[in-house]
Amino acid sequence: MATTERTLTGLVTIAALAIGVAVTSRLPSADSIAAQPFVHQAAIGETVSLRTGQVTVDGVDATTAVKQSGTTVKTSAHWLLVTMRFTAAREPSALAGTTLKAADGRTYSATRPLQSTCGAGQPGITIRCTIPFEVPADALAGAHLLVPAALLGQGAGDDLADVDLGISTTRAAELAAITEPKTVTGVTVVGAQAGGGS
Amino acid sequence: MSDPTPDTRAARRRPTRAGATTFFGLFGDDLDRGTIALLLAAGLFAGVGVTGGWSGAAEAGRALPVVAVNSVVTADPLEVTVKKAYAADAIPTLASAKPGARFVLVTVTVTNTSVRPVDARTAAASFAIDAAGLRQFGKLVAPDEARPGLVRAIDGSPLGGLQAGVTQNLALIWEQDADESVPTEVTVTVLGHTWRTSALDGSTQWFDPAAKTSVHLPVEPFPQV
Amino acid sequence: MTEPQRVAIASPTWWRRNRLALAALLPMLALAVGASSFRYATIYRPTTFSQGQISSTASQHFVASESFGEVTIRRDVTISLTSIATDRAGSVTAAPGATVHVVELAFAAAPEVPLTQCVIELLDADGRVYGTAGGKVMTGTARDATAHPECTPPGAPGPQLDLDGTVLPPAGNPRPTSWPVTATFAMPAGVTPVAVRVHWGPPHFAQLPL
Repeated sequence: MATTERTLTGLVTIAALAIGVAVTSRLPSADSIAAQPFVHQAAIGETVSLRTGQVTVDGVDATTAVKQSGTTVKTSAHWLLVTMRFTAAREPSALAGTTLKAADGRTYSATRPLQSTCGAGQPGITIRCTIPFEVPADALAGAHLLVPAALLGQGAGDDLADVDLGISTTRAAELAAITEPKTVTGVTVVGAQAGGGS
Repeated sequence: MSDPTPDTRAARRRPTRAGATTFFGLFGDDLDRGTIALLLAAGLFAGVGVTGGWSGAAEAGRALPVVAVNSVVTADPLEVTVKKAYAADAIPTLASAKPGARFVLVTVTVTNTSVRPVDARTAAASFAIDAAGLRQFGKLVAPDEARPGLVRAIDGSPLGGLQAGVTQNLALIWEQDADESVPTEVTVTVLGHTWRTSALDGSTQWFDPAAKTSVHLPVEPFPQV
Repeated sequence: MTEPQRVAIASPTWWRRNRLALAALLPMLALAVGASSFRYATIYRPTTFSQGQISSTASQHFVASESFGEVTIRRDVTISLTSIATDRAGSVTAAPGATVHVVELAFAAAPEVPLTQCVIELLDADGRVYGTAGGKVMTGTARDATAHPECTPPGAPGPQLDLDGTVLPPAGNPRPTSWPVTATFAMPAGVTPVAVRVHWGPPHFAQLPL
């Protein structure tokens, strides 16, 4: 084989490998496709049916001091209080791992010492929960609530409700101005609809 | 190439150098000397990289920067200002007296500059002090393994997590064996973390604590209230 | 001119030439399905209620082993239904639109069988599962004492399990050979429970009809 031909073969092989690597690195892997959530878009007041139950976000409020179970938890930023209703579907379950997503993509978690889960849910019996999120003022406008069907996996390969909280810039300014302490009850049992759990 | 020629059989009896020449001579059709040298060099280069040789060369002799009290330190995902250090047998409302223990308290201002929450465990792993005889759950532990308790200064509640863009004043509380003498100065090391996917279980978390900077603080007795 | 003729004679159809490989495809397909079902065998079946011991009478002799690494424990217990009532709520108030069901069971087991940390559930005709924790209204900050009933007699739980599955020696009084267990449920009114299920985590469970 001539030297130029050998060099050319080497270069072509290396180029083919490089193209192959570039293509495969840009294609999604089977695992990443399997981990994609089934996203259900919704707005305030709309009911989303997740695998584990139905969830409806009723509204938002704000404060700088949350009173819960005899303690007051303050913040230098803002507590965004999200109130939602949950009705378990086929077995007892709780909403957990709920996160807030700001318009710029930053995510916020609900943490101790305040109640961050919504349970225990009984099939057919609705419960109402208010979950506080500690956020800076600039994360309020355009925020969405992400509710995974189950804590395990955080919605990966599972249902995920993406609820637009409908906070306009004006509403965000109003919420950010609220400083009076608010009492937040973790879980309230609302009751069963007539006709039972169907 | 596969059938041993009289040449190679003879080569085994020759001195090593001549043997090597003959060995490479077998590939003479496919590889010239230049290519073999290049392959050896590439192998050596890769080998040094695999064993961490290059990063070692970069890290060697790089001392941890020391910054002044009250200056803002960036240790991803946090921005930290280390303020004061106190020692006390008990701290009102935060840490009640324990037999055989005293508390070292460091006050800091912390902002999570990342785009996601930093859990309390990672926040606690972002701080270390060099005091002797640190204890955790009643047992003596190495200084870099002693995790402080994190308390929010605003209301004295335990820290649940640091949310993106929210600045908080925290009290970091370490438990020290009372048999050790009360420290007069502590060095607070601030550690950064990297958000990455675990190679073991595929979960994405804050991993790889790495010391970013340190602050020397005088230790004062806790002010009486 | 002989060339095309020879080809036509010597070449059987593609299917006939590859018949061995084609026949081998079938067992290979079966093997591939079997091999790729490892998730079903190693994840889904052990973590879901796949192994029921379902009784058609009011009593069930439940035997199941559970492994914690090297430790294996064996639960051998006879569970019987004593009664189910909707008029004995006691201190429990059901949510609006819900009814309280009180299930009385009788357990019988040797004193060395670990039976703490059980779960008791009701099933309706559609297969929905109802727990003891949800659907009850508490006044003020009171806690629901019926939320997590134990399957062991109070004060005599018998052997308990450590986190690693190690059986800890019995605490308290020696456990009697049989004892009653009460579970209180709140279910939507109009839903009729058809079975009670007792388990200590998947995959094994005991089920009795109501």
